[in-house]
Amino acid sequence: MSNLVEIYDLKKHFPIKAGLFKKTVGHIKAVDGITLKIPKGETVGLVGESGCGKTTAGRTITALYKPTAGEMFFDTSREDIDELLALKKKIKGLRESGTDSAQIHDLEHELVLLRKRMDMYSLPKRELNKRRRDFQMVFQDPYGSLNPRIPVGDIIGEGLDIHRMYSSKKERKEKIQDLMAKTGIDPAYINRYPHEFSGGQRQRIGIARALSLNPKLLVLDEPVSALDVSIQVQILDLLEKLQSDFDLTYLFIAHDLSVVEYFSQEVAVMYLGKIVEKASREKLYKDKLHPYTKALISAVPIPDPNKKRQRIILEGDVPSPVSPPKGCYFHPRCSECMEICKQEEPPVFEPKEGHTVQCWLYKGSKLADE
Amino acid sequence: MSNTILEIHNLKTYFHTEEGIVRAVDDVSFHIQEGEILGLVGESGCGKSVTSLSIMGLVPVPPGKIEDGEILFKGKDLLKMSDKELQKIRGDEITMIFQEPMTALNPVSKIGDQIAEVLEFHSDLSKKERWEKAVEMIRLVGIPEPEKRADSYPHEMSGGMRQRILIAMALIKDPSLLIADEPTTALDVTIQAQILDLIKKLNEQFHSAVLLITHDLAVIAENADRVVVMYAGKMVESADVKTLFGNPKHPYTRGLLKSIPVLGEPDKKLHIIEGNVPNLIDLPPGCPFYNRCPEAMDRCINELPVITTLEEGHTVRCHLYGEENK
Repeated sequence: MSNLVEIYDLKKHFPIKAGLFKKTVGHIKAVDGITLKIPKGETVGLVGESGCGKTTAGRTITALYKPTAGEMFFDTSREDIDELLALKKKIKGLRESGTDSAQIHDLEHELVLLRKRMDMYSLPKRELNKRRRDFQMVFQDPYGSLNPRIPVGDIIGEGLDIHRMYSSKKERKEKIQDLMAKTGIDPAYINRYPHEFSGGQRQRIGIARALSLNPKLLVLDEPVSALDVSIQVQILDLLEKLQSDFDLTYLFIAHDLSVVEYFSQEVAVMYLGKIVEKASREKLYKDKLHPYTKALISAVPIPDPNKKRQRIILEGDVPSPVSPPKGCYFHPRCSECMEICKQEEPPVFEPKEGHTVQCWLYKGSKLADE
Repeated sequence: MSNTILEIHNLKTYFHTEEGIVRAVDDVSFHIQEGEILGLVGESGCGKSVTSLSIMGLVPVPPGKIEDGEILFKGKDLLKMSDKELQKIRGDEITMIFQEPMTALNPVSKIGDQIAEVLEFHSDLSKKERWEKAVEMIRLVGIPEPEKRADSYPHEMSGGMRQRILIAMALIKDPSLLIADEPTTALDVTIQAQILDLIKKLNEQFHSAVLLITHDLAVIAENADRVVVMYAGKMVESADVKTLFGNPKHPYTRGLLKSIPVLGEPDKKLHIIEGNVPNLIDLPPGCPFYNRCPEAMDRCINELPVITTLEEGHTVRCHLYGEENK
């Protein structure tokens, strides 16, 4: 199965500026080196608590933010990706062995050329803007993400205008009304304003807008967390239907583990800018490995008064991403913290096929191939 | 037989707006016993928050007005009390935790002072004693270094810690009734677990009654003893927590329970409740749920069902269980 999106070692650091001359005094490491592959036609869930960097990750993946480091391949062939990664590895190897700089320089030049061809983040701006229609985003807040002064027809049609995807006014209107019908909004409401719609309907408008450009990837940033329970299911159901109708691939970002588990085939757990564990949803729930995942799952209440989960209470709060702790970022709150965790950041291990975890407890396992 | 702390009879709180009358709370009755946690659950706009504001006497007048009903607190009707009498009870015997820990605290006043302020009105302790009591409360809600924390400002704290401070404030006078309005909605799950554990522990320790208001059925299942389900301003079902989750009767309660994803059961087929919550302005005369109800009958359109008692402590407002259908 091929991957629609592959992201390697993605970092997004926001500078903190202070003083008269706006000197950079530090960095918020919102996303600090994540590697993620999203298979075509599937849904990958990204879950974590507030401030873990999941929204920043989503926005960087849709190229709304320019990353500090990292590559993103979108619908690129395996050979091309492997070529670039192999070259990168080679340069790294040469550098470590102290080979003369001229050779490295040449290879680096080659790498830049390759990047310009395939890495989304290195594409020239015009090229990137053309590709943007392939990856769209649905935002969390159905109240804040729609301009209150523009009729919904124009909100949905804005992308069509920018990418000139129609030849006549009539065609534009037809396209918009078709999108409205497909997302469950009455097409007769084309000239109404956002305030005339309920939260659930607004989220449908946001989805229609994202769909207008026939994207391949939708990044769904907490698409249902602002909605009532009964409306949540309606939107999840709509998203499921659209996925099969339009052959969409989803990155589903949410803090609610139950919703993520229900909706995604694969789940990645983020903590403080890093993916600490990644597995299929069944494995993640049944054979959770990382102490953070265990605590997170144990904290989710069960809607059944006869069942009680053994709760692992996490002490303290999430540390600041400005000055994360040394070693493993989770060690100050971890119940299984060892000496090595305080000193050295764990690499990503793969104790079971397709199940990766960034934790020293799995030291004996093989390293993940990332 | 434990004591009944709060009894609400046929409460009606309406808002008179330009567009019409909003029946935010319409004929709601329930009671809370000493040491009990009562869950009030429903979706946005169902009237659960207005119910709590009515108890606290905080409904904005106008446009709001309590049209009818009784709110008996230890046998005395809060609605018949003067503002002065109410002041004495509020913040002393009845206290409230709000949803937004970010905005409920004063940003320019020290945490310790804000907690101690409660005692300024409701006790005759000296300033020093009040401060010491505040520090003691901060320790009680599980915040490390309470002396240092009392001396700091809200912005120096995380959301979970601020919510703990609000709980400390609400519990400092050892209230008989604590109203917690969506106390964990703005918080992460791991912090939510800490806060709910704390409320439960304090409920057991101080034996206060708790009215826990939330939209989250899982939170209710884990914490409440009894549950009241509201929909569009009306009570639709109430029962003890095991009955409600094990044997729900109202089609809305049933639908709601079937529509929540459960961690560990990813293959559960989620049930969809079609449609939206009706507009509360000039609500039609029948059952407010009828347009979304899979079991709606003709009489549901025009006739509001009465509350039927199915068995001791289990009531439901639905024609399916009316006298005629028994």
